[in-house]
Amino acid sequence: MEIQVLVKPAPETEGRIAPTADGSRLDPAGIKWVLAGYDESAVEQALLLRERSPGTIVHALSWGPAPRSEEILRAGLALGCDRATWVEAPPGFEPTGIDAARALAAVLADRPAELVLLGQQSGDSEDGLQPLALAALLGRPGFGAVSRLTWDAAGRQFSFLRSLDHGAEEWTVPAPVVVGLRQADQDPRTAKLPMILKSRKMPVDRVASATVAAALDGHPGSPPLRFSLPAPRSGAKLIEYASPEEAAQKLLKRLREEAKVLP
Amino acid sequence: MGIDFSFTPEQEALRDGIRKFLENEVAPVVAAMDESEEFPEATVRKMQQQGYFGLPVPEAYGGLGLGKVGYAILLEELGRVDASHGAIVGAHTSLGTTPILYYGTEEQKRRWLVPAARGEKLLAFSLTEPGSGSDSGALRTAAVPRGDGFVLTGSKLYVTNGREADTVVLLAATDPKLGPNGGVSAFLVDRGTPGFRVGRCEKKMGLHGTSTAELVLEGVELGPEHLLGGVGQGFSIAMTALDVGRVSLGAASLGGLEAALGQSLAFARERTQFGRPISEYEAIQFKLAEMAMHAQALRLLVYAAAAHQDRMGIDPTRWDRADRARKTREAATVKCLASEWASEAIDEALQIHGGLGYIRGTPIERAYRDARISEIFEGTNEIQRLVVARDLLTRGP
Ligand SMILES: Cc1cc2nc3c(=O)[nH]c(=O)nc-3n(C[C@H](O)[C@H](O)[C@H](O)COP(=O)(O)OP(=O)(O)OC[C@H]3O[C@@H](n4cnc5c(N)ncnc54)[C@H](O)[C@@H]3O)c2cc1C
Repeated sequence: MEIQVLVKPAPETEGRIAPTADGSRLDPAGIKWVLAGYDESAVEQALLLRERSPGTIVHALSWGPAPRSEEILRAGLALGCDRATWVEAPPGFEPTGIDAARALAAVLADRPAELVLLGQQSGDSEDGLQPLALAALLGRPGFGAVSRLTWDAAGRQFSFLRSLDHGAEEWTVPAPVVVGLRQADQDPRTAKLPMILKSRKMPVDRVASATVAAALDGHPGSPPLRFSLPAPRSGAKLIEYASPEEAAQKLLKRLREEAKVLP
Repeated sequence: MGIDFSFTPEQEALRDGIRKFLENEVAPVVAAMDESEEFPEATVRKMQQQGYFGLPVPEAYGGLGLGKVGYAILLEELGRVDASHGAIVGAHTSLGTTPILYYGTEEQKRRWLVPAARGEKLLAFSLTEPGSGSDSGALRTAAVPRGDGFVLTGSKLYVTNGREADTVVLLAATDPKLGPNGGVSAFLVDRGTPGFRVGRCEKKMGLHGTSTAELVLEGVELGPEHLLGGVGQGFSIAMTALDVGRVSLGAASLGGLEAALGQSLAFARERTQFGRPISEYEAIQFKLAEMAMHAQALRLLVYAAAAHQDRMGIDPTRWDRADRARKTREAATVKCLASEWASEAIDEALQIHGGLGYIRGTPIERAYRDARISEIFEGTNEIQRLVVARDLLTRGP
């Protein structure tokens, strides 16, 4: 089986995060880009599927500007992906929205992967658009909110669970499919040192922006009006106590009288 | 031409990978380890499987081939998370693998270095004795020739990893009259060799995850293949290993300092007294600034010394005298300043945390107990100053 696993660079939230000088968007300078959240889970599940189905190839794919895309593709290789392809974004394009789906679909269209796997949302923006937009553009069935994804090689089909607010659905679907993953079967692994070193020497294939330019709709979208940081956390308060009972009573008092979250 | 002080993308990726691993795998077990005073076997095993115990050793000998700069990155990151894990890795790598890598025969490297670098075997280094600490050349454990081998008798003290090690690089006197100048030799002593046993393990103020063991040798017979380097070369082998150890210990202290600074900064911003976060008071700001200045200076010192050792390579027969003296002085400088600045910073960090910093189980309280030993082991800081002074008076500034 071949899996194309899609990854997007997300800013490391512990690092420096600041708006651009005009205040319109996140300033990319000085940001450290990482594989985060649902994307990490997607890579983990791809690697688990390969472990359970030897011979499977896991191919990481990312659309975006240099060098951040290459960095997170290398992070994917360090975790164990077999190959990586960077699809270069034309200047000005941020790796989000419908443009991302168009560019990625243009590349995926000629790749006969049984599974296109991605997080149900990216590690940073929470559009949740990609899985279904990609499925529509590729003309393949697409599913979001997926967990417990398994592959039946003999039947050439995938089974999985879709978690909904009111319950869960079990599905079995023939390949090829596009899957937006909610959760991998286990916590994402951390890269082993020898693999990190090896990943630095592995090739990252590059698809030039000209190749996907036709699929994009001309111009990058206009930036948002304003970008601001989340409000800083307000100070933590320590409760001093001599006994657990006293701690609980003091906490209750504060929750009632100061925070007013309890009657 | 300028000097480029930046790390390569490979080194940055290495640091990221190490940091992530330590945060996920090591940080969660540290408090319980400190409390139980048990060797952190499970995390050590994981680290051994991932190459952490052979990081600077060339790939040809089972390591990752990342040199002293890569190794300093590892120790700096370990220093941020836990000094015990740092000391376990350091005793094994700096003091255990270096002597074999630099002075061992091909046969010895295959037998002892490769499994150690691959993380299959743990090493320790044993120089100190009850009667000889700073004056390490005055050691009394005797290695008496018998047949083509040796018989070792005596006792060694304070051996990090001594209880767990598969093999100990052990210094003994082949000619007590000569002392450090040709009277000391280095041996590879395997666990389980008849007559060789682990004695008392010390209870300590800090470094609770490490064993600090007494080793007892009662007529331990060793074949000639257990002698490392030539007869009488032991002291110089030990000092070469300590040069490597002191730089990595400096890197670990730097990590400890950085962690104390990070924790202090976060706490000072959160903690409000007299209606304002304490970070707004100049008395607190000055403490933070001092820590940051020392951290910046230490980063330069540590990595310059490590890079110099990388340039010198691993074949002591090719070292030039002056270069070797410079290396030793750099190592002493790094170790001394780093350990003192780290202790100072952790002390100030504790002060910034107020009463909370004194409460058992907080990271600062543990760091305070863990850091102190760095001013003592691998040569006390008095000895580091003697090393620098001696070089000053012979070679000049
Ligand atoms: C936790 C721990 C781990 C250790 N791990 C190891 C290990 O793995 N392997 C190993 O071999 N050893 C190890 N040691 C031993 C350590 O290296 C020694 O304790 C250290 O070198 C000091 O020796 P000492 O304790 O005998 O002190 P001493 O040498 O007796 O020193 C006492 C004091 O006198 C000062 N002093 C001594 N000589 C002079 C002088 N000429 N001028 C001025 N001041 C001087 C010293 O600086 C010190 O302040 C470890 C020790 C500890 C506590």
